[in-house]
Amino acid sequence: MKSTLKNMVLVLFTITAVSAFLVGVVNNITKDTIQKTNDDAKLLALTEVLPAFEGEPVFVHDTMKIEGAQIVATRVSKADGETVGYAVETHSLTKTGYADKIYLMVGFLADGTINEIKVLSQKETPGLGANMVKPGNSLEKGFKNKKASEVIFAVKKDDKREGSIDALSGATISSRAYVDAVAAAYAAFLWTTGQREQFEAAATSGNATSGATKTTEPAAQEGDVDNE
Amino acid sequence: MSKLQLITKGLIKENPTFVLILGMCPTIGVTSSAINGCGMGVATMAVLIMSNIVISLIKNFIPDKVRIPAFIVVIASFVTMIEMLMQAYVPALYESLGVFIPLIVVNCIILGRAEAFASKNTPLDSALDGIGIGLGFTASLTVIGAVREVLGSGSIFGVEFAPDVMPLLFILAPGGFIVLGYLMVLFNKIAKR
Amino acid sequence: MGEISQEILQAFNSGSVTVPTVTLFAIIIGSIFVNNVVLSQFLGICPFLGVSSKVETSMGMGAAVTFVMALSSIVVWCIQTYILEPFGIEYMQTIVFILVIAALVQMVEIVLKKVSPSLYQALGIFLPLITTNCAVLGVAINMMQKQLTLLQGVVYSTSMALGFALALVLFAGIRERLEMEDVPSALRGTPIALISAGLLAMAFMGFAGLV
Repeated sequence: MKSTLKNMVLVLFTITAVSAFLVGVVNNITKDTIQKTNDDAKLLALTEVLPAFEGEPVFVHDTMKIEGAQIVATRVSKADGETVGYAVETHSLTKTGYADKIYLMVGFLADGTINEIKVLSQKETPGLGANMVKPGNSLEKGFKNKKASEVIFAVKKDDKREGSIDALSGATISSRAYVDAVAAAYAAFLWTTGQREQFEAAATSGNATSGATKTTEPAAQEGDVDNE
Repeated sequence: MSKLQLITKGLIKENPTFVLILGMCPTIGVTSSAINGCGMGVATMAVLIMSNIVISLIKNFIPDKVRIPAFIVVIASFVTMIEMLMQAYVPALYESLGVFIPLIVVNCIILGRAEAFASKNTPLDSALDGIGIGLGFTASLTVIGAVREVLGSGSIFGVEFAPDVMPLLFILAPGGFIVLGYLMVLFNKIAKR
Repeated sequence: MGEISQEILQAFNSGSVTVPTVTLFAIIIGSIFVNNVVLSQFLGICPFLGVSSKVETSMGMGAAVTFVMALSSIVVWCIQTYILEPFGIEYMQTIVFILVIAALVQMVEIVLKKVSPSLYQALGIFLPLITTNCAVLGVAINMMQKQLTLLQGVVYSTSMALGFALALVLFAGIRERLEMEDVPSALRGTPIALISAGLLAMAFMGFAGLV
């Protein structure tokens, strides 16, 4: 076809319009499935991180009110009301992994024992940070079946404070983000179970070990964050 | 060229990776495992077949000067559709391929075939050409992925046989370049026979 | 007592996260060296292999890519923030971005033809290739995914492009030397180039953990 201005504009416009329309149609078709796939994956993880039991589970969701964060603590109970545990959908909150945020599902038993951790999504380097999805990796081992109240939420030999978790080899940044996500889950667990004293106690002991000055001035605290 | 030749040429004679040396970014970027390589190959093949057919159908209506932008719009639309479908039905693969899925748009293989083949041939031939080149690309990516997975993480298609003893280097960036380089040598040796 | 970091407790108490501010300096060093676009993110490998036989041409290519990427980051950021997001059509991202980049490249080509015919002659055949240089689109998509501000985004894209130029020029230097060496015939051409690129990537891995 001849390349006159009218032709060119007309053809390009038609192609773009038709394409945009078709893409919109496919988007409408797949939107619900994408949503459902994501929800299913979350629901599966939610039941997997807690001990299995007979009968239909009852879920009570509690979304943490933190701006820009998506942390949901779900109380899972049996039909008769007995609490099985809490599953917390969490992500790295104050640190990011090597590539992006790390999304986890962490299961707590009612007494605060970490039962199981599942990685919902991560984009870390294959062979290094991505090893966090392998069963039995050092991060998972560090948390699994431990009482959360006895864990120091930091990797071992970190520059700031001595933690109780072995980092993945060659992936300290990813490991820090993972630990950060589990710590956020623990905070959400304490928050949702109403253990505010525990929370405050954790706050004070966190203060003591991190060596941060006990100041309430926001400016000083932001400075502290910058040093990370 | 016979119909059969159209399909088989991509495997050896016009292999996009080893002979034409096109589409290098996904070739090195996603081949840290055989499954990723295979998934990327299939996604690219799907886009290639569909864009080849459509471009061949509309080739007579496109003014010569806006040929390339028109092709790009068609390709980009198919890529976006494939991206959404993958997100819906194979979310794990979608996640591990990451940014390389939208980047299928700029895979030189697709625009190259549109320009060199689909804009001059019938829809049927173009579809066959898409299948042929796509198969070649998928095969190459799967092989590279398999080699890197075996050497780097001691597993094949996710089945571990010697975990934690293989040099990790092969699934990291440098290993990608080096494995591809040596596979190219091997391919040339075999293809010349 | 379980010890949680101060920042997390603060986030729960105040209801907002104080995200550690990334300094521009960290973005620059991180993008040029640590996450080098070619050697660690595998973007833009085609021109990296294709336009790296001479240092001079590679410098021109690097400059052209830097210019296009800096410009496209501004346009793309504005389009995403002011058009795609308000209308909820983020799924059109790929199509819109590639069109913007294609148009920009066309523009650079026209300008270059007028301003510097000699450079145009050297890069003429490669300029259209910038459209299909996945580094440009890849960095634009990554930039939007990282949710950077406009200033951070421009600095990020420009540094990424500089990293591309650096890798390209370094590699061209290596290949100029390689030409004088007696390379085994089977390895000649692309294979030896890929293997040297692998060694270069290994050297760049040394930057990991710098930022």
